Amino acid sequence: MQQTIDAPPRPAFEAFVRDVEPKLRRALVAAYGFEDGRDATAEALAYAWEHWERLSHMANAAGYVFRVAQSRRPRALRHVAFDSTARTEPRFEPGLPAALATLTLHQRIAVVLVHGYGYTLREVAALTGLRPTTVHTHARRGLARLRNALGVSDEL
Amino acid sequence: MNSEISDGLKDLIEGGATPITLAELELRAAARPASAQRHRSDARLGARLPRRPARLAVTGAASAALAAAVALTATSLTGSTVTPSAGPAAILTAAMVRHLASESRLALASAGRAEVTYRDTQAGVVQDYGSDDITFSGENWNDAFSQTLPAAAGQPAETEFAINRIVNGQAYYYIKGQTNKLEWYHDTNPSNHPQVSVPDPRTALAVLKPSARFEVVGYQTIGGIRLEELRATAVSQLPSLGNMPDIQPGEQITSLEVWVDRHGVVHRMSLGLQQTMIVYPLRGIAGKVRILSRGRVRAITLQKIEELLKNSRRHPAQSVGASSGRREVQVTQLTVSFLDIGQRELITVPAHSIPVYALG
Repeated sequence: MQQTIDAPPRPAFEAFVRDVEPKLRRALVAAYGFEDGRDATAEALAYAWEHWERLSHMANAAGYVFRVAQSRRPRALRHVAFDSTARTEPRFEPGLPAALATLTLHQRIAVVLVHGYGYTLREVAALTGLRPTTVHTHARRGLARLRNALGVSDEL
Repeated sequence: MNSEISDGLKDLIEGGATPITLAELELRAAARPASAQRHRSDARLGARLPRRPARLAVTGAASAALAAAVALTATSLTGSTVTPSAGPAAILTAAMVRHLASESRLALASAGRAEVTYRDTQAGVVQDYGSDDITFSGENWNDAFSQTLPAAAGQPAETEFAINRIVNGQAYYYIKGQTNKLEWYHDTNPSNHPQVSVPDPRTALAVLKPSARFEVVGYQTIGGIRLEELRATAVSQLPSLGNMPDIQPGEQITSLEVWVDRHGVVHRMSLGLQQTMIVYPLRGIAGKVRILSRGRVRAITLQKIEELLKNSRRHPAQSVGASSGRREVQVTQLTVSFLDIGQRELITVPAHSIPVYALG
């Protein structure tokens, strides 16, 4: 329950959020799980809000915000988990959440962004600060592991 | 089958985390306590201390809110001209020495020890203080640190101790885990370990000298060695802190002193950092509190505020008496002592550790 009395936000920041939020959230959720990933995304974008004047001049503000999210996220000594038990009509293999959790952090990001959402290697590289070839390797290995964990045997 | 996996991944991720709206960002930014930006170096340092749970000075009753004022960081989307000008980390330890190493192009020492003490205040009130004892040898290092959070916002003072250790690329943390007793944990995640590097005090002076324009303050004997105390007279010329990922952009070095021996080796370094924050109070209105920030007023329930602060995992907000925004200065004072530089240290794998897969 809230009431807002304010002027509209800056169009540039709105455009930035529209552009960056989906990719950032997907990457961070893949990296850290639903709750922590979403929280990290919100924190990073709130940071971007506070420092928009500075970020607006950056060539790769999305990559910077991704790095902010990583550096600000409290380190947690636990497995990343994708708890989907509450989902009523999941349209994925029942073993997919657990299989995804077995991948490394970079593999999860690469697999989800590249194979799940169809982002280009260059886009993912710009976001994560990795080389496109490295993203490709993470995506390829991650997908192979994922398929192996899910018992899919045909060739990639 | 690949397309099935692709669709499944999309559905899994998309269904697990809803998009973040601008309204949510605004609330989150507005609810960020003035001290929220400290400890950002913790993630880099791995097993830092558990954060004090965020808690409001108000307890949910609307009437209580009438008397309470909760400091918030001023944020605005509407052309704010005064924003938090960034801030020194409460725990700048490793971040700071790493900054000095990278930004000042200082060579890194390959082995030795560094003792770091810090004290962080806001508006003259101590926020936290502590020390790090960093031992390093090649790529291996050990950071034993303690942190004290003074009593605040109804919560008692607390001091905690922990160790971060990297041996042969493996990370070990001596922390309180689920058992709430100090134990060694081995992070089996092969990547994203914390990093610590220490500038070489043998070359630091030469690198800092041109921009710092040191003046001699006096002489002091430390550890039996007579040292010359030099103070930088041109701190504005020192490299910016803004580009480090775990240091807030805009934070400024306000003072730098070094203690050097006759060979020009730095034995101790003292740094002051400062930022100015604009803090706004919350004022209760019939069950809601109104956040005042530049050009923007928002009324939300106390419950929502509490929820936001709780979820923010930050320090508790601080009470202030003023009814309008005001500037508060955050000051961090940091001292680094260099010991046994060049001398190899033995850093070993803990005899017993509990394997865990830490998030990177």
